[in-house]
Amino acid sequence: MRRPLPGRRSARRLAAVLVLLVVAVCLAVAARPAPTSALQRAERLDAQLRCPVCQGLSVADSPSSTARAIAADVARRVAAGESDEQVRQAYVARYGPGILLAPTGTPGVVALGLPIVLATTAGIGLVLAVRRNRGRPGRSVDPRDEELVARLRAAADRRERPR
Amino acid sequence: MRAPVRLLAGAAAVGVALLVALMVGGLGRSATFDPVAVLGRPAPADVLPDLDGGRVDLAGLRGTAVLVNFWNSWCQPCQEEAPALATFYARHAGEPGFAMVGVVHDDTQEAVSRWVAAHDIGWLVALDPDNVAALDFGTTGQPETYAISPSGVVVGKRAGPSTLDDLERLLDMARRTS
Repeated sequence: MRRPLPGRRSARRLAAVLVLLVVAVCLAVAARPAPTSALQRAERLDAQLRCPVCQGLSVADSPSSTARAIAADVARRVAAGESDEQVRQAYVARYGPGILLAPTGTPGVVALGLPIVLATTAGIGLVLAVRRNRGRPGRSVDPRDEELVARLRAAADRRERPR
Repeated sequence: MRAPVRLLAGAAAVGVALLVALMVGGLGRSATFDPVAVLGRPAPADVLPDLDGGRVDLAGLRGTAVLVNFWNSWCQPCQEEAPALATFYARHAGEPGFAMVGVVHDDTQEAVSRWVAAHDIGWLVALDPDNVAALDFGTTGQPETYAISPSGVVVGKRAGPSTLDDLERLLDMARRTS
């Protein structure tokens, strides 16, 4: 078996470290602790609900009386012990799924991390492939092709020469 | 192509496909509300204050076909709708098994009292100062009119100013659904 070149070995190590780094970042983001206080939960839910009387604003961002009423209701529901999902579903039941402005819940490890890991892996693979191909000796030109090119050039020179 | 490179290319393809799917999924999310989300569901059983210090118990109207109209005194479309509501109520007020409730939100009690007196409104008027009923019905503005069957199920909805025909249709829907 051919031993990998020292440069290639270090590139592979670098690639492995980068992949591990990306995976670690994804896991850390996905495993972020959920807000614990009632106020934080209510604020997060307000940001996930679309203001029903506004154009593209969340309940958190809208100054409308309806949005204020929803914010108050959300705070009341959170204080009463309803889970985030129960609060969201209460509004989906009234307004349909369009009331949800943001993706719900904490993004899963797979949904958040897999595309990033795959894209990073592909990028590293591309870099390695380019490096590998750059190290290969250049291809030699077929002598018959060289001869053909020389003949064509000579013919072109003859045509362009003034009589 | 060697196996590792092929594997990486495959991984890239899957990654790109997933990213595209996530983007399309995000873009495809509807930005509009479902106008019929509350239809077929039990009507909210809110108890609201009226203009005289009493209470309007929506659940207490069970057994009658009910039209619930959300409005307020400063809303121009509500003012456009007012004559149709008055004509409609005058036509059906004496009929058994019929009730109509006007629910006012985003308004002051004084302004509502003035409006009710000036327009000789005979149907129940309830105040919704905290928008509780408005949220429970899933309103997205005013005026909006909901039809509730005698069994207490929301069976019809009209967003925007209703015509006399719209109101008749809503009442018909409420009565046809037992």
